Amino acid sequence: MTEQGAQEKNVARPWKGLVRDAALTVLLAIVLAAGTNMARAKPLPWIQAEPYEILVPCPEVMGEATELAPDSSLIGDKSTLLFDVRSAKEYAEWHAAGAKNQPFDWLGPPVDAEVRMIAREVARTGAKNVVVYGDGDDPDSGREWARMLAGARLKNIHYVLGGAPALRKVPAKEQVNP
Amino acid sequence: MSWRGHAWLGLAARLYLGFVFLMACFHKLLHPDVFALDVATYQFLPLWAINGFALVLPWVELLAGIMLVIGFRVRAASLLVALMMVSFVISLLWALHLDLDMSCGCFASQGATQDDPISWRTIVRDGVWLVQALYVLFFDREPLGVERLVNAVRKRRAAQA
Repeated sequence: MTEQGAQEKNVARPWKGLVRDAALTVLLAIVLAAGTNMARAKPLPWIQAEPYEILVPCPEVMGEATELAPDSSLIGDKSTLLFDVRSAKEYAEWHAAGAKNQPFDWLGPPVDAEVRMIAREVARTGAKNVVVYGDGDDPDSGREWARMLAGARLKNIHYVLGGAPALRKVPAKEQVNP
Repeated sequence: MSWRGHAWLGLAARLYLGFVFLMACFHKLLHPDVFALDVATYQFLPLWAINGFALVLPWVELLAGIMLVIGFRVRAASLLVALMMVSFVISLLWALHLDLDMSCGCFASQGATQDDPISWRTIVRDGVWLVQALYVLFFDREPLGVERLVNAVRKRRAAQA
């Protein structure tokens, strides 16, 4: 075939040569990959037998919750669901009036079930606000819980600044000492 | 289509894309086992395909990068780059859909999550590179480079003979 003939053929079917060149490049890549892999001290098997242990951090669905002062009127309000996220023992020792215990374990399993339970509770009671308080440490378990609830797209989620220790200092009318 | 400026614009796009791919293939060629783990992290390919993909892709990137830079079989290289970019964008969209908090793995391993985390920015960046590859593929019909030079020399010799 003359050079002119070859050029005409290329113009008529431009994609054929293109795909052929691309395929040849991939073929060369496979040969090079196989060669270099064989030359390795510890070749990577072409087909993985065991599943990989993937180390992806769990997505933390966190939203923004509003900070409340310990003496906020919202805490004792009838339209508010109040949660104490400290341990059952700490809750038994002291808790704010009307607070339900919902222990938060930093190292525990995902809390999706608890979040769903609170969402149902909000729907059932028709509560307008959810207030959470925790141990008041840094980081504060109450704030983390509140952010998790906000991340689950629950609205009007608040946490008490300073947690239980701060609430305890508020005049006794809103507190329960069992 | 036959505007001569395409060759120069194409050259700029080719050099940029070529160096991006040469940089991208480096750590993957050196550490295919780490890259295989990166690929697995996307949870996109079936297990049997992960290692083969991790072994071959860096070489395709290297060859395509070299071809783009030196101007050899440029359109085939840009076709490969475009196909790779499409697959990368799909993988990134998949990872975003799964809400995976991970590194892109494009230039470094998952250990460097903070350096190149997956986001819409990563997808836009890959989209821009895809457009560049498509520009070279469709508009740079007479690319500047080694192949054009060799053809010119051949023609001159044929004319002299």
